[in-house]
Amino acid sequence: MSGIYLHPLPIRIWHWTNAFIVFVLIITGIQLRTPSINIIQDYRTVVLLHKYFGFAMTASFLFWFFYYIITGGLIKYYLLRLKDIKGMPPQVFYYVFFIFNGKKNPFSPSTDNKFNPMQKLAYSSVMFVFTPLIIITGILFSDITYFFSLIKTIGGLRILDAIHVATAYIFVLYLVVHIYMATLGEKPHSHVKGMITGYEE
Amino acid sequence: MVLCDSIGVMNIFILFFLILFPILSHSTIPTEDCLGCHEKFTTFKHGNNKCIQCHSDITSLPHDEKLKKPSCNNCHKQTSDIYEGSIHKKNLSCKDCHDVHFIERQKKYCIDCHVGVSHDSLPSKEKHLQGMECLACHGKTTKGNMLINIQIDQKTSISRDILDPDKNRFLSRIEWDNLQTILLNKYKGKHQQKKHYVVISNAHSIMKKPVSCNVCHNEKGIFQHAKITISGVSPSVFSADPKIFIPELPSIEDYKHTIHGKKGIECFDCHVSQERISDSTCITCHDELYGVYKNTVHSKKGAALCTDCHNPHYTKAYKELGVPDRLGICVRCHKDYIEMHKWLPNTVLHFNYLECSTCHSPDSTKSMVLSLALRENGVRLPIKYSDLEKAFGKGINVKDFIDKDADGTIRSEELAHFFLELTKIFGKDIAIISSIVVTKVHHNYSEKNTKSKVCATCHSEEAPFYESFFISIPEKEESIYIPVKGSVISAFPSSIFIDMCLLGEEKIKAADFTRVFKAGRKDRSQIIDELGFKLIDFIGIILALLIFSGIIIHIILRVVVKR
Repeated sequence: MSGIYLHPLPIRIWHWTNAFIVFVLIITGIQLRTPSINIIQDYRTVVLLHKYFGFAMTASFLFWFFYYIITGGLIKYYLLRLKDIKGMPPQVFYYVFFIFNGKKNPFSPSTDNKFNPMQKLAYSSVMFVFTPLIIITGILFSDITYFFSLIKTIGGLRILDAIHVATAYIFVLYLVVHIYMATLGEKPHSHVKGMITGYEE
Repeated sequence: MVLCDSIGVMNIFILFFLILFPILSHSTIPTEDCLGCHEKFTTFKHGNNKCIQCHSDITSLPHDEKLKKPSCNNCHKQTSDIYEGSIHKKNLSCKDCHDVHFIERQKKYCIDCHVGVSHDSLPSKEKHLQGMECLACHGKTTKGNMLINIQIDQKTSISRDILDPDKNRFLSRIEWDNLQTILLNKYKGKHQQKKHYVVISNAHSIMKKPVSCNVCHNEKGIFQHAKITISGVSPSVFSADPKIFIPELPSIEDYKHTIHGKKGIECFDCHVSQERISDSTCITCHDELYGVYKNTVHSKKGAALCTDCHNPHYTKAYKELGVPDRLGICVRCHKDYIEMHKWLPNTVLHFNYLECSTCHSPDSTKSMVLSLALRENGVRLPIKYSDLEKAFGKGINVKDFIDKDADGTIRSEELAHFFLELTKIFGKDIAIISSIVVTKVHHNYSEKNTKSKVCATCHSEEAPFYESFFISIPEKEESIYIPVKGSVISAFPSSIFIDMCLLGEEKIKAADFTRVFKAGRKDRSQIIDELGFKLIDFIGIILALLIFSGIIIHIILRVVVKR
């Protein structure tokens, strides 16, 4: 294997498991939001799939969180520092302009610094803000009667729904960009290969 | 002056004498001296009284052989007054029931005299005799409570989350029905359920005739609370509405207020003999409805007579019944309805808002009905006309107050304005309840195992009940329904509908995009406001399109520069 060993096995397993969970949640979520789009025939199945894959996502998130707490990568990889903020404009310019004239990526990953500033911004906001938000609102949805007083404190079911759906849109938009940017490695499949083997070129 | 002074001194002397005389006279004979002869009363106890307080004609010992009968009246005046009106007054003196020298020993119970009373004319004889004491019917009963004890296997327990999903420690009719289903399915033969009716009555007020059934069996029955205790590993205690357990019975007074009574139908119009009313009696007027009903499963299999579901003596018209009352009609037979609807997510929550005919009578007209309630100690009680009078002034015509343009229907804006006025006055205590109820009943309930278990039947803007939208408000005489024109719930501020659980009407459509983009600058902001929660989808989809366009341009450029 060539390159740097960036992604340990547990994280690679988590990544692809989580990807599958998010995929199922998005498909079922679209059908729940717009029942006229009939992806899965039985609506009851859609409701249950969304509910139980939601619980699976909670477990998956907790695994990711405690794995990094124990191994100590949470602050090292995800905390935005002043250096990262300064590094954002060059990174954006690279993706928008310089990538086309063959210039080198201003960021090269290392075992101590896996993500470029824009990746850090995207991953930390998704993992620390949007994932917990969608998980908590989802859990409240899982038993409306049980959590009714809490839901009322938030402002009612319609507000809860609004928060859950708005976060879901952010997730989908993030995912589209994430998947596309995975093709921006040395070769279009480099990052995907890296996430399978663990070695980034 | 001298005269006044001498009168004053005289008065003081008389008062002094009056106070001291009884003490002096009584204290002259100690109880121990009496017990010297009357040994059998050595342990006597009647409060803290001494012998001579009742036997007051004894002034010295030995006393006269013949003494006056002591009068209980001197101390027990209030009880004595009540007893004056009692049927027992004729034959029984205080002594016949009370051992006056050992008052804590009750001398007699009702059954000591009334042995083997058949009570044959009492309907549901065993239920009544097991659950209640004689006083409940034969005394002047003022109020009462119900105690329901459910004993299950000591090693098991029923989770409180299942019993009381809304965690208000109050079992609604639905939650009680759910408990009965659990007991029937999981604890068949392994549980005991006892209902005890405790009434506050006075044993000295036994009447010639027992109380009327209506004392308990009417809408304003005497039972105020019901307490349910469930034993097991973790015993639980809940409150409940006593009306769940006591069926209403007709009273002639109440009958005048029923729909039949108001239309002038007399008792003898239906009750032509002692026989139970049959469907043929109802057909006399309701032949058209019966034409539909006679071909349905209920009728063909002889499952239900008209009167099994419809109580002709009920004071409320069917349209005035809320969801729990309507459910109650079907549930009398279909007790396992929660179990049968386990496929439905949030089953109990759904049955808080839906009646059976919403799905099982497809040809009925479903409507969205909004009603008002006030929250008191966590329980929602329907708002009364007097509450609205307090808020908006005496003698208010609520309909005219809401319907500002007096066109007979209420527009969304009029309703939103009314709700906001209510929230200003009642604050968080006001609750706006929405239910999907059947406003025009089609009597075919044969639809079973409906294959169309599709949530979007109700959770969408196309749901049939939006075509028939009403608000039910209390007026001076009775509650009335007023139609609401062209509205969906999302048209109202979400803070008002905090109790509202129906989602799914805010689906974005292509037409919404066209409307926004085709509108002029002035109209655009108003159209965007009207989108309500659809704005999330609107922004989300626009952003997704922008991102996709960006990606496509990026890909094209990459292909061009061969990167």
